[in-house]
Amino acid sequence: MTKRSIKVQSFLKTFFGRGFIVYAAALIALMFILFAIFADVLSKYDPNEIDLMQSLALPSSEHIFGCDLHGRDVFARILYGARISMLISVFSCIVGAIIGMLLGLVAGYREGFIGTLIMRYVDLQLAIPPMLFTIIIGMLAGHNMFGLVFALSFGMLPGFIRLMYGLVLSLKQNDYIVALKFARIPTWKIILGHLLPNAFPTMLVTFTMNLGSTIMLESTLSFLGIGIQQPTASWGSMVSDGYSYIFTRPFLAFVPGICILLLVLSFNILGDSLRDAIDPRLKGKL
Amino acid sequence: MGSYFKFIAKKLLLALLTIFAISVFAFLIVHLMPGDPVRVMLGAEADEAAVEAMRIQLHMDRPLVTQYLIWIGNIFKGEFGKSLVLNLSIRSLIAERLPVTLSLTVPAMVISIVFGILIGIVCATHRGSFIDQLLTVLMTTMNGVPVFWIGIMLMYLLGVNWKILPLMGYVSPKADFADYVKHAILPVFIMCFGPMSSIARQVRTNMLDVINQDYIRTATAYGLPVSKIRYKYALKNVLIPVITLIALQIRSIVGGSLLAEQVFSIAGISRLITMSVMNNDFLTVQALVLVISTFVVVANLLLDIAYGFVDPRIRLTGGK
Repeated sequence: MTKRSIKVQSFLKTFFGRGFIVYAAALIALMFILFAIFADVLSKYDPNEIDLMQSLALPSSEHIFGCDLHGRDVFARILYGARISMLISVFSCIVGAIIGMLLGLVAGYREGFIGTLIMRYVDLQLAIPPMLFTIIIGMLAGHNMFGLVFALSFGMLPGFIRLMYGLVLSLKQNDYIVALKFARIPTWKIILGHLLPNAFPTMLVTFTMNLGSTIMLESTLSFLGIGIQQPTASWGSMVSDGYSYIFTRPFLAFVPGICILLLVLSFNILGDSLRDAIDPRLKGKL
Repeated sequence: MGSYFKFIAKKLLLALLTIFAISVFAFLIVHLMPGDPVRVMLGAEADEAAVEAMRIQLHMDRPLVTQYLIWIGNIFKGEFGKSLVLNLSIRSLIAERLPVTLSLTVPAMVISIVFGILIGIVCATHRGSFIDQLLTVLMTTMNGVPVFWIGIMLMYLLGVNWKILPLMGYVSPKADFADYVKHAILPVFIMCFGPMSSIARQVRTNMLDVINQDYIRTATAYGLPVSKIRYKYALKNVLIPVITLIALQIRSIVGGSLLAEQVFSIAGISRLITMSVMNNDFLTVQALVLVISTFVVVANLLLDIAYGFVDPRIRLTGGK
């Protein structure tokens, strides 16, 4: 057996180490990802098509989760909602992670004035309650999808900056980095070739762990009416819509909420497992 | 004691600087808005003369620094301006709604801290047992549940189906305490979700760390009673870092209160924010950001001072 395959094997062993719960989480996450990709294949209904004859229709073989007030098929909206939620969360996390890592890298490697400036900014942003901050940024960027991505990624910046800053500060104390500096290796080579690869595992874990919380934040904002606007399907706004019919059609609020719960929980569990498998020392820190 | 006063002075200065920076951010909200803020506030149909009059009334024709000074000067006098959407003075809105929000968030915070610590201790002292696993799963789940949804579902179950709790709304504790409790149970419960699970997990980790340290082993070797070791020697070191975590939770409970007030139709400060943001009522948003963030900064300052008091090490290192 090669060294690599042993590595992969031990990785998988720790990853699935907690047994049933991790398999279930992986299965659920996979299911929702497939929902998101194949939304148009899995449902014959258009999520935004209004059919007033079907207004508030009960679940049936035609509409397995029934229809909302406008007669839109709830199952179709769940599928397309999965697509929107995941696209927005993944995209926001990528943007937030890249910008956050960059700023953290600069702050940690250069320290000095720029570093202090960046870290003081982080303190300032953290002084404002995070949800309030995200909402305000969302308002400033406009009540649309771009504004939402902007607000979500902006909101998660401090986490990524602080983490990267801490990592770089401790990594650059290592003898081999100091040696590289003395050998007059260009800074960009040290950063790309040595600092980033070493920081990558921790960043990957943080990224995965952020996915779940971003999906939650996105649906929360949409529930409050600040995120994704009608008629685009979003799980959060579906809960909010269904809330108006809680007396007669409780499942309208129940179904999208369960989806949020399942997806967020499975991402959280997978994030934890990834952390344990990549670097067990991170347990309790991330 | 000298170092402690130095520590307090440093923290106080930092808090003042933070509040100043937040006030600049809050002030800039109006100006960072793409397009003409006055036009957005008054709506597209407003005629040019009204927009111009409003601009002069808000001093928007003056330089930015002058505008800031006028704005902050008015706030020091207690004048926040007028909400354009509700057509009421922002000061009276805050005075009316802040007690409502506090009467729900403070109990939620206290309950989260007390139960969070208890659950954390139980889990750590029964590590690996059934009860530990059960509580850990419960805490993980609580962290992944959309609280607005759980609020709606509980309301459906307890209010619509079983009819044991009122559906929504709010009653002041001064008016009728029993009725207040009935109305507050669900909002307070859902606000506890995040903070309680975070505190419980942190306490569990800390407690496990501390139990494995040398001084605890020494105490055990001396044959001291387990309860004395746990609750006298270990707990002190477990709880000190929790103070920092509580400071973090004060920030996140603002988010919880946004949701609780929305779900249960409570006319508090958080509901006012959501409404103002949706209606582009910048003046109200501006005032609320400043008030709420200042509140949080002051609460954090008090916690920092308490932290330095209980743990002398913090005073010297500055809490880093």
